[in-house]
Amino acid sequence: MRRLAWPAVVFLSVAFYLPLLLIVVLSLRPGPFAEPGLGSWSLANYAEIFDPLYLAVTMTSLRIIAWVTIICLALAYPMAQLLRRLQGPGRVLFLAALLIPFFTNCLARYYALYILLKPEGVLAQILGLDIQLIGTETAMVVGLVSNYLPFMVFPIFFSLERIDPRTLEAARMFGCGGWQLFRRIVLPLTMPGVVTGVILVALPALGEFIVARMLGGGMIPMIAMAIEREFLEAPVPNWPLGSALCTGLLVAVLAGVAGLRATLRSGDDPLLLNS
Amino acid sequence: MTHSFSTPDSSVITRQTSRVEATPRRRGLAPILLWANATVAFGIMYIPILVLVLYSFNRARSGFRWEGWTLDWYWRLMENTTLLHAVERSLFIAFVTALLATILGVAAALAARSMGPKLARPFGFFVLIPIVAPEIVAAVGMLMFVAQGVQPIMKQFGLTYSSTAGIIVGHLTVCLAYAVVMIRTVLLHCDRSLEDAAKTLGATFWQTFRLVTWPQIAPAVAAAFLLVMTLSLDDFYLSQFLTVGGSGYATLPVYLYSLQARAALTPEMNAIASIIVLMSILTLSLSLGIYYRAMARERVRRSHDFTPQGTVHESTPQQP
Repeated sequence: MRRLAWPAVVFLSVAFYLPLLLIVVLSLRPGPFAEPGLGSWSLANYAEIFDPLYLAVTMTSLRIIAWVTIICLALAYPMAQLLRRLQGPGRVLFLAALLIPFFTNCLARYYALYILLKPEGVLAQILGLDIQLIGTETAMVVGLVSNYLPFMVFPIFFSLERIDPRTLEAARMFGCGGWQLFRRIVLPLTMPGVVTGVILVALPALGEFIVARMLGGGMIPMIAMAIEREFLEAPVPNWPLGSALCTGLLVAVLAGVAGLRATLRSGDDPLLLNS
Repeated sequence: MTHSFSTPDSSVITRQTSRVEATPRRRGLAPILLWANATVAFGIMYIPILVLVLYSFNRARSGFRWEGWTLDWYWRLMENTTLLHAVERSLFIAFVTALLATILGVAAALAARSMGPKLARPFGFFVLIPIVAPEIVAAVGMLMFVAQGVQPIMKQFGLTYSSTAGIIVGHLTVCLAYAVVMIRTVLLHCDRSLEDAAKTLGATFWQTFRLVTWPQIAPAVAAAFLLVMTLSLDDFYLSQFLTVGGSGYATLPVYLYSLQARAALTPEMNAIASIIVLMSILTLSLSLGIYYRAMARERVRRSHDFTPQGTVHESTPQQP
């Protein structure tokens, strides 16, 4: 029966892993007009990543992602706790309400935020104010939070569910309650969920560019937007440079996953990656 | 049971209060704060969507003043051939992707089950990396692969690259991972002794699959099919990059993006976006409905299997 794995392995090798390899190879080519085929190799593209321009882009991206992660965490943890308290149909409804945005087209949802926030948009009219939100980092953070919040709630909820009630019972018997109970027992036990949530929010958000285009008005560049520019938008596309940026992003994301997962004890993996 | 977040164990979802309440219901401030927090969070997620749908019924041609209800924008979409082609193409791509993803997914999930942990883990990683890697990186890689590898080779043979096929392949890489996760989760719940029994009685591999395994996993496969359709309909990055340089029309999200990028803001766009939202909600609720019903039925079946004889007789008294 193991032979049944071959179609998937062959397909992914050709359609997914080979293109990734191509990115790495191309990132080592010298200039924008490099012809395919073997020739000279250079690390110049990687040197260019550390250009102040791209460093600024990286810092902006990281700042936005940090805000998004913090806000998602602050909103999601209490939501997960509330969800755990709910029973029966209430719980099903709550979960469904979280799943719908999760699977609704992000483009349509960013567009929805756009008409809400745009100058003379719905919000501006309701408040009767002349506010400029499109093109600010605030709008982008709001957009990303609205898109990625469920990714944070689910893993935290699952690790809350896995806490043995007897543990809490025991803690309470020894006089541990309220804040202390949360700080000493609940929070450490749900750290796997929190870490997984951070992986699922921060890393995909790093690869976003629609939000930068729609809500950032194209004025606040994120890494993914810089990549798109080098491939599709720039008057002189520089594929090797774009490839180097891609490789950097990929390495950062995989390192992020590995690093965050390393903070967990083995067996504490509530999600996905161990299946 | 592995808690994978895309396919949560349904017992978590519907569990009744049969256990000790982990946190005693405290009266006072805490529940109010929890609900207030949830209200804010759901507000951030839902208000934009509601406003969008509401304004797709707004009579006003430009601007955002409310001028009364109308269905004009939806009727007008019917005359927009570019849009209709985009919808047709999106649905076609989603359907083919879902079909291929479920076929490959069932095969891969069966294979993974028969592997030892030493092989199953790396195989699981191999299949799941496409979800973890940033989509834009995959999209860029495939764009270059098509431009530098596939297109030149196809030209040699006098063929032209079809971006529809390219997008299907692209979607399939990501969707396959979701299909495999969902089907593997259900396979874990399946009773292997039934298959062993079939084999002992001389059934071939194909007979065992068709008569024993398939009936058990069919609902989950249907759910995976619909979920993959949702994901494919939603995808933007892969479609955008793989459309470039190809022939044919854009998919629906790519079309919406191109309109927005050209700042061609019309009320029709609200209608288009509303339809996209509606399509996602429909396929998703169908998928979840099928999945959870199947899981619930499975649990009922199992609880009967494991009930000691005496209790079964109590509920179904036999004639003396």
